[in-house]
Amino acid sequence: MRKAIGTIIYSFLLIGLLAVLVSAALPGGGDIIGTLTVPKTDQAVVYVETVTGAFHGEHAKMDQRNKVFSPYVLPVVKGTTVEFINSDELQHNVFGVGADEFNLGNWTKGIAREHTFNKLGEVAILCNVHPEMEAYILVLQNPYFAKPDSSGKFRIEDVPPGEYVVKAWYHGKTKKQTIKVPATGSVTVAF
Amino acid sequence: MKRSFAKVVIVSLMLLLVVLVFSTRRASAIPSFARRYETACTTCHVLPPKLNAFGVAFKNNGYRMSEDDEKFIKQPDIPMGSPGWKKVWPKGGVWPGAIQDRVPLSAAIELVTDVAPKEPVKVDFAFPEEVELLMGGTLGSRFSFFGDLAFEFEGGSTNVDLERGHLNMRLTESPLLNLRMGRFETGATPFSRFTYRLTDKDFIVSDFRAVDGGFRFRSRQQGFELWGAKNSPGGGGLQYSLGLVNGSGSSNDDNSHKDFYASGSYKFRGYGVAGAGKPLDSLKSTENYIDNSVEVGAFTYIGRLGDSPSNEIRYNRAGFKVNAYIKRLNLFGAYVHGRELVLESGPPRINTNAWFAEGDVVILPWITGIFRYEQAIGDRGFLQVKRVVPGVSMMLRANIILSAEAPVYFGDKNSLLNGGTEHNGAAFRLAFFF
Repeated sequence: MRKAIGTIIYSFLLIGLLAVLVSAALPGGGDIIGTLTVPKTDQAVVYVETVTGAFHGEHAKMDQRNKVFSPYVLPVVKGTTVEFINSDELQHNVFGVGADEFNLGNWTKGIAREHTFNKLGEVAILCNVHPEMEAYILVLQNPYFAKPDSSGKFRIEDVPPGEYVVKAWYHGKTKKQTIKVPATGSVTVAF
Repeated sequence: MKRSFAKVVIVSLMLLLVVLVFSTRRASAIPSFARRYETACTTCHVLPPKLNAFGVAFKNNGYRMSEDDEKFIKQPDIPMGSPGWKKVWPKGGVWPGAIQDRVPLSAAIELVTDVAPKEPVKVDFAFPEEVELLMGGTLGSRFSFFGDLAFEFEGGSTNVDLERGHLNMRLTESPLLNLRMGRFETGATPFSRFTYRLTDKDFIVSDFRAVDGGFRFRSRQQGFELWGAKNSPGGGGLQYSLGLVNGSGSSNDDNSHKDFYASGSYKFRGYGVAGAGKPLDSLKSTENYIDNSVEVGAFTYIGRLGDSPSNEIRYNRAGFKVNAYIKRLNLFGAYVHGRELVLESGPPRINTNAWFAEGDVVILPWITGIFRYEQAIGDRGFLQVKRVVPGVSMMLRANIILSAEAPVYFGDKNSLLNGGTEHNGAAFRLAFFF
């Protein structure tokens, strides 16, 4: 009985010590909070231009539904593979122009095709069947980005402390500001 | 005492009624803009059709808000290709454009009553005198258009006149350089009869001809015009125009020689000629008639009418203008010197001098008082005018205008205009737009 209690206590202490060590190893950082004033906030992105470190892309999705790409703007880390899904009853095409150029061809409902974005920059996503459709994929260097909410407010969390250029993107136009992110707490920026 | 007072009231009301009768003013307010932005006419007009400073900037931006146009449009355009196709052009695809969601058509109807004691018909009702179809709007971010088709009813006949019809292309991101092509009032016209005039009587500097069938500024021309507007840091800014047109007098152009004109003006202080220069929080519909500023400008026009030496008329115009806003008062005027070379008959050279000065005062936001003095004198006895034009214009509603004027000539010898004799009288007009 005493041995069991002792083992349990020992385990909790070990877990606690591991937690302290892990949190100490994780990079700390502050948050970048602010407001972006644009007519359609869901079509904007705020991001930190360059952060020291190696970052890896993951997976993301973009849908075609009711002849509209969704989301309108998709920020991804370089190396991300984006899956394009056709959710409409009619054929769609996906091709990209800008920092990356590709054409995935035409396909029908329910089918998805992928493309991996390995070049930094802005890529316009278009459909050559429906010229009114468009979206943008912003291929970024790091994962420190956010999309504003309906009131224009945004928060980029856990940014390593330091001085950075923060950019706001809206319909192909960008504005930038230079800020200092603290080790803890937050810094406010407005566009 | 009571009977005397009653008489005074009745006579005053009758005089007011008489005064209200005629003013035939060409309509140029366009409700389709009000519909597009869901805003009142007074956002852009002191009193339709006279533009305020915001309206001038709207026009200079190709019938768009100078800042954040997308934010204020309540009827989004129908895209013909998304903006991303600009990256594909020219190798693949068509440069994207847009058309307006609704047909940008408006109408203006004018009911006019003329009182002319010395004419055979002393009181004449013209109900309606004119019906205009107005259309204007944008085609994407770089193109815009304006059209004005007028149906004039005189006696038993109907005249149809395309007063204006033109396409404008903005060549630069800002309104600094634009190309207009079509049928339009030239940029050399000292003060526009469509966007500045509040009276039926046109500005004499625009209305006079030096010879029968000769040139006058109010004739619309067909051709091309380069024009632009640029803000200055302290407000106001620069506006200019350069044009090459067919040239026409009382009839269409009848030679291959083209007319040329140039104009420039600079506005000190006041609202920017190209817009506010900063994002707008909202559209304002009140007190937009206040714009303390002074604008000075100059213009010149050179042209030729006739297709042979026997009927050729060579003419040029040069002059300057001043336009000052002081609180509710707008003082403006222009001087034009004209020179005609006519080989057909009489002394070949004809010199003309014309000028006017006008004061418009916003008495109340819906009432504007008008007083103009003007004169024009030519060499050949074809033109000698000295007159005052007092008037008043009232917005019964933002799109219903009641106006009156009573031109007074300084004697019979000073009422010769374009070969005809003008008479004292009065004009009342009721115009409504929808």
